[in-house]
Amino acid sequence: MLTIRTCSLRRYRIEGALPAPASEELCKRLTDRRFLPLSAREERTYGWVTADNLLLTRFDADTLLRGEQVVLGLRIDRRRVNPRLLRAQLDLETRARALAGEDGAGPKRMSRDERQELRQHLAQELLKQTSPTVDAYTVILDPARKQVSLLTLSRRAHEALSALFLDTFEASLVPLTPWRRAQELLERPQALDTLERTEFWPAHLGGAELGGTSAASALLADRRLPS
Amino acid sequence: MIAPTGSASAAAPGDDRGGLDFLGPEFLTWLWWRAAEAPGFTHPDGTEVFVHLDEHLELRGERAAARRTVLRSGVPGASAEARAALKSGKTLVAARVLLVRGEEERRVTIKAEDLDFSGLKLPAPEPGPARERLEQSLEGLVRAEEDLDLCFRAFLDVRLSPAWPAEVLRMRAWVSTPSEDERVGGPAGKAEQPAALR
Repeated sequence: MLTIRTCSLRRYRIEGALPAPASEELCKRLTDRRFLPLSAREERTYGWVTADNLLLTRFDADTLLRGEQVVLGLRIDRRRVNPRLLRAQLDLETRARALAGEDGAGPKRMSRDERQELRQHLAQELLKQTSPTVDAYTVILDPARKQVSLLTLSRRAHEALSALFLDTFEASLVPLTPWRRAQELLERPQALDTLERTEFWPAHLGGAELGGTSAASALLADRRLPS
Repeated sequence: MIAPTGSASAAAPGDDRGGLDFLGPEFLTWLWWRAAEAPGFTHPDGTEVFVHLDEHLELRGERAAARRTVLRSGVPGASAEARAALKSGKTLVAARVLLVRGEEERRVTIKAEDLDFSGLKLPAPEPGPARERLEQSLEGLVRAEEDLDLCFRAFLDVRLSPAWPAEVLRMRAWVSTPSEDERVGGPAGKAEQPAALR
């Protein structure tokens, strides 16, 4: 069972309409983009799973609704062929073919295309033998606030979430950066258009790394600001 | 001046910060000062939230963009190094913030540029079924967001008002006063100075 005591998160605003929480439509859409295991040739895949168990992909009100919020999991599986292993395997295979060529069982040297083909074949074989790394992240969807929180700061997970959300709901996620949140909070968001950076400690006031007079006397000397 | 809700206008493509990369660091720098001078904030329903910055401060400079100062352990906000970093033109880009609402305490590292939460520690839920405990944690998470929003709204109120230059002047005066470490002096004070990495 999922517990949250300590977490990191980034928040997003949903731009677009969503089906009602735990409605048949929402469950159908999640099911359509549920997590499916990597196929033999895939290096990376991601999809929705339940928040409580990353092996379960059956969605209903019981698995999704927690209070006012919808809680689910984003599972990302990746596998990658170790490049050193691939190089070593390619070297062995190349040598074996060269020996066979000297014995008259084939060409002595492989062409560039043959070598490339062999490399791809070996990469596929090694990929099949490589176990994927499995990650699952909690996603909190707050329908009332049209907000989504992803409980990780992993860049790859956030990229996957944005793509998966768009694919699932045809709705975009925009990160709630200070600028976007300010736009929402302000009655006149256009006031932000003319905002300029504040010089909290201008160079002419001196400072620890800039030399100059003491901070207090510099402050008294600064006549450009209202006292 | 501030509305409780509103709609975001269309974002410039590819720039989620709207060209205002400085807005988050300015907010966190202001919050540092505000927490030191007047740590209380009040929600519209009268609920009070007290803010304290401790344990971890990370400052980065605009004039010397590649340089950063990280202060950890003890009370870095009270250190001479923190003041020196501000005087060198740096602003706060990350800080460990303590939010206190009644009996509830939450600690979270705010990453200013995108308002990301890192290491948010929620209060332990009341004993009960796992599902109810999770729902309590989710409510705690919403309250942490509301408290941060309250602080950000208070910042925007002054940041976009004619009172901002005077606020900056007060912040400068605060930076100019000796830090707690400097006032305490002596071996005891120095012993609590945090390690400064540059």
